Amino acid sequence: MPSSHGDLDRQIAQLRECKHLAEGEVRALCEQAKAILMEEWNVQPVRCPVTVCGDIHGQFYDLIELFRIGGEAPDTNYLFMGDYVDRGYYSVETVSLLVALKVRYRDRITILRGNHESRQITQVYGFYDECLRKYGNANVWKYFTDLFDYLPLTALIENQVFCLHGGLSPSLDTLDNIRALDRIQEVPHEGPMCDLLWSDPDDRCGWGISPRGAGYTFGQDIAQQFNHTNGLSLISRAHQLVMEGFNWCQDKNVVTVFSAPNYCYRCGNMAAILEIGENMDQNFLQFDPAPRQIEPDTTRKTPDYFL
Amino acid sequence: MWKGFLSKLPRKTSASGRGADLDSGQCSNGAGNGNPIQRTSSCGSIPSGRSTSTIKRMSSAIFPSSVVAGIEPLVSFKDVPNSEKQNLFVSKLNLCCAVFDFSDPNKSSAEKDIKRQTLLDLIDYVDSSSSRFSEAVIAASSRMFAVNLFRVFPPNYRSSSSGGGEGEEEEPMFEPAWCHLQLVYELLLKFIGSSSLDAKVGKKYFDHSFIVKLLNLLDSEDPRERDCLKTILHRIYGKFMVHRPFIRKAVSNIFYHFVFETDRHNGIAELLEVFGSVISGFALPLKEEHKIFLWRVLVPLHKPKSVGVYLQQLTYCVTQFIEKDPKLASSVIIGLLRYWPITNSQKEVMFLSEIEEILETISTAEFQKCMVPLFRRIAQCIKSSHFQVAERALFIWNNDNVISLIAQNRQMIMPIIVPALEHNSQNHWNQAVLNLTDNVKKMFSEMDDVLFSACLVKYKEDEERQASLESKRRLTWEKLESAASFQPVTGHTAVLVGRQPSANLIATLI
Repeated sequence: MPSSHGDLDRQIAQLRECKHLAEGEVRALCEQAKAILMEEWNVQPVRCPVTVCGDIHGQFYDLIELFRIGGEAPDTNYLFMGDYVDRGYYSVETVSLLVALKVRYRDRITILRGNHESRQITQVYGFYDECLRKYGNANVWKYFTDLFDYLPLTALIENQVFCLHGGLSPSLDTLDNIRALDRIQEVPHEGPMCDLLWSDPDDRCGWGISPRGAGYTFGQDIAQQFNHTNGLSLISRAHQLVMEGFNWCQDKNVVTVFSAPNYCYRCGNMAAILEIGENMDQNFLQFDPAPRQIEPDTTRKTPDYFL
Repeated sequence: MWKGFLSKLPRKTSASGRGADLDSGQCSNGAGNGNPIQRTSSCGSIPSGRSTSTIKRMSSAIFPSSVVAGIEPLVSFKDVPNSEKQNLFVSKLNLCCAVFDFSDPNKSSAEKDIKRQTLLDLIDYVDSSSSRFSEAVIAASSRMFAVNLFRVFPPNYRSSSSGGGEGEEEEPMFEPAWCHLQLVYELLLKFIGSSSLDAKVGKKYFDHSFIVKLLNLLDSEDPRERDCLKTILHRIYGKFMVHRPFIRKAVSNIFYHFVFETDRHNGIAELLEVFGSVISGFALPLKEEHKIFLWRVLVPLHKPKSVGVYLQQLTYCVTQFIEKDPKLASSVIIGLLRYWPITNSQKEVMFLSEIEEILETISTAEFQKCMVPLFRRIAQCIKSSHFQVAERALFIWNNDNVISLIAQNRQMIMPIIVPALEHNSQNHWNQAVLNLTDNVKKMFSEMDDVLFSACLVKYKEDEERQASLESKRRLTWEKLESAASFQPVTGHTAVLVGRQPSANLIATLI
């Protein structure tokens, strides 16, 4: 269907300039994306070479910088581990671009679900209000959050590197346990699906109560056991701010990758992406924030009497 | 993150009962009696309860250039006869006109300590003095206050990045010269409050220009300074009756400037807190000037993005007005509806809380004046996909006073609200909202089952009519489109149409 690709290519070009799509275009895009994601697995298999990325959080210009550093899609394969929206100024443009790339190049890019890809969280941390401001109603928020229910929870690179947003769950010992989950729903407040998106590694052994109020903390013993049971060499996850952009822990059983430089435009951290080469060799690329970081002035554009 | 998230859930705030009757002439209640400005024991110390790390960011205001090279300590008050005390007071005041550079803590530390000690002497003297202050004393005091306090704040570099600071907690900037400023403020407070200060003489030196400059200081980044200023402003308003209209006007101007021009001011909450007491002191019937203040200042103050910072104080002022004159309630509600923040969910939750607080005391007559537009808005909020907005709107039905108003006017309100409830039952994603919706439906059916059922029937009919209208429209367009597909498209050929194309020409074009 060359004509539909032409349309999609135009939309991608428009999004790359940080101009959001029309409401109807978002609806059609989300419908197409839903059909694609529905076919994917809870543990989506991914081939190398691939570049693994962590949280983006609406920092659109830093995402563009990421593509500049790591190579443009579809010339580079990408695996994003969730948290595309909230906090930054451009959640709408960021998630629209990633979803459009997914629809256009479904085999070149994998997008997982993060804890922020949820109805409840996006209403508290900014994506919902951004949709209201940019579209005047909540329809676009609804299209995207309905789509988020279909995002895969985890990915598995060449049966060796296990990728997910948060971490492990005490109710999930094997990848088959994860494959058995019914993921098409809002992220629950507790339980295995919630844990995958919320948990964090910890210096203490065993399972611990997470200070986040959702998910668990897990020790090196847990990660080692999980990797051993499932024949894995590494768990790659995001979810936590790390100042260098990446951070090895638990005797190299777990690595954290965080791809939002100067998180929230104030944390002063570097961002990183993890390149996994054709021989499964690992290489981290670090980058600084893109120069353009001004808040879009949406306040004065619409006179009050239109609101 | 879940904990932080829970803490953002709407909570009903209740303004604590405060406020002193200022029109009785005496300012009986500021931020406390006795010694409202807490004095710290030595230079460089910080208020208790704050960790040392919070002090690292310091603003440095631009000081007047009268930095003196060296100052000598003066004799103690107890060493001079009573007749000389006021002269010594003036000398000590003049000594305190030396202003020091605090950006370097080690610079002229001996002199700084002398000034500090002198300020403490002055405070003690004012505390114990019983004879009237001479005009010379008042003039020298006013000069010392002006020299020490009035300064230009550095431009705010952070405003652009934080965009009005919506919810985001920012570390306050601390004034490096605080160990002197604090004592100057304490002296000012005591001096104004002292019975030895004759208001008739004092008003000449604590004049309009002094007051305007003092009000400007409320933009200080340092919360300790704003707190002192709040108490002092309160005291000045109480003491100098003649300045009251001017103070009200000057404060209104600050509010106007903030709402309509800059969107940025650090002291709005403090100014509103003072005004809460001022309003509660208004005599009845309310002057037109005061009502205009309500409509032109207090209601528009709901507009800025940062309203959350001062909403509690603002709501208190608004409810004070309505308590004074209950006939203002409907106009305030209509005003709030005009500024309804439809693209900011957190603000929407706050507005609903304020509405509920007003409904708490509203009379039936006033309620009836605004209930239709009000409940149309509440219906929109009930239907909001934002779970906190929908929850907050539905929580209104927990309020007995509101329930009884709704029950009295159910013929008007139920037909507006029932469609929103039904819409939720069929579409809302959030379980808590669904449960609350069910509760309100149950309440309605217990209140008046006949009316409730009639509203339901009407809702279903409206839905069906809407659906059939839409399918009819779709059919019409489909017919048109299929008919058009049989007609050749006559594009591409340019046709020159004269000023009045003849019917013939038009016929050939078609």
